[in-house]
Amino acid sequence: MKIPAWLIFTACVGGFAALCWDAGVRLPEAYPTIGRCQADPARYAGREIWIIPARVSASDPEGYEVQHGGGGRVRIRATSQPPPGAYVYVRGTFQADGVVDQKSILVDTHFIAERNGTVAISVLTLILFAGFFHRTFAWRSGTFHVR
Amino acid sequence: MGDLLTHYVSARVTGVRIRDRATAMVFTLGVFLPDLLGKPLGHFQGFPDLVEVPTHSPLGLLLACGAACFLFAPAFRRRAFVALYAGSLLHVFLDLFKSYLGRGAVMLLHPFSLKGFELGFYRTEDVFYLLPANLGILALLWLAGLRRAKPPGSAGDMSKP
Repeated sequence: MKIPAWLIFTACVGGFAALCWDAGVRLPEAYPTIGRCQADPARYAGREIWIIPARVSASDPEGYEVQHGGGGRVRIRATSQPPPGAYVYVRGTFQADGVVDQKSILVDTHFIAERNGTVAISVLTLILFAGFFHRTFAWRSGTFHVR
Repeated sequence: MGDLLTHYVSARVTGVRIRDRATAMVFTLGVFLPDLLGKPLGHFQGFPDLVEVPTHSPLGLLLACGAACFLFAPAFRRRAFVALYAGSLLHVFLDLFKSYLGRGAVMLLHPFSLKGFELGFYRTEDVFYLLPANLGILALLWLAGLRRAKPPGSAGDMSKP
């Protein structure tokens, strides 16, 4: 028995949507963002978290403070301090007082330039590929046909 | 948008033996597919964090490629599915080499396990420094393509008396 194409398509789209829904429900709890931890410190105290990437806004001998993607700020307790203005990738343990105890860090002083360069290179690659694709396939009656 | 040039180069290198141009093109599209699906999903306002993870997992990509192959004409659809899925898996394989400080770059076993996997060799932004190597590889492939396309009887062809 041949399975109708529309049924296969619907099953694939439905299955993919179900996986995305599952990821959206379970993963934020398994890998909480710093914003989520700050909203309920008692619940997430002692959890390992990752801050990727964040701008250092201030530093002192006992640690430093970063602006994270959620728009807020968080204090990192560490023995070494990156310079203010640098971007850091931090792995640490969230504490009930809202501070993160740093376990490992990666400092990047050229993050913005690198990120912009990466995006520009990627967009250019995509535009070139779209040109090659258009030379190989033609859009006719709702599907791509080989030219 | 992560590092599509590196992914493009990986598709050109591993797909060098694919003789059919249309299949090679869809294989490359498959290499881009995880990011083409994942980046908009991940940045969509109102969606929860990490909702885009299935765009970089083998099961999620199987379903996504199963749906995406319907963009192609029925006669080409089966081949499009295989090429898209192979390309997508190549993307995930390359992403495994990324570093997220041990969190895991790819959740290979989602939804059966939420464990993240990574080899931690490079960051997404490092592609900026890989640019010369990527362009060099593309130049070599282009030169190899020119040599293959050289017509018989042209200078250097010793097969004729």
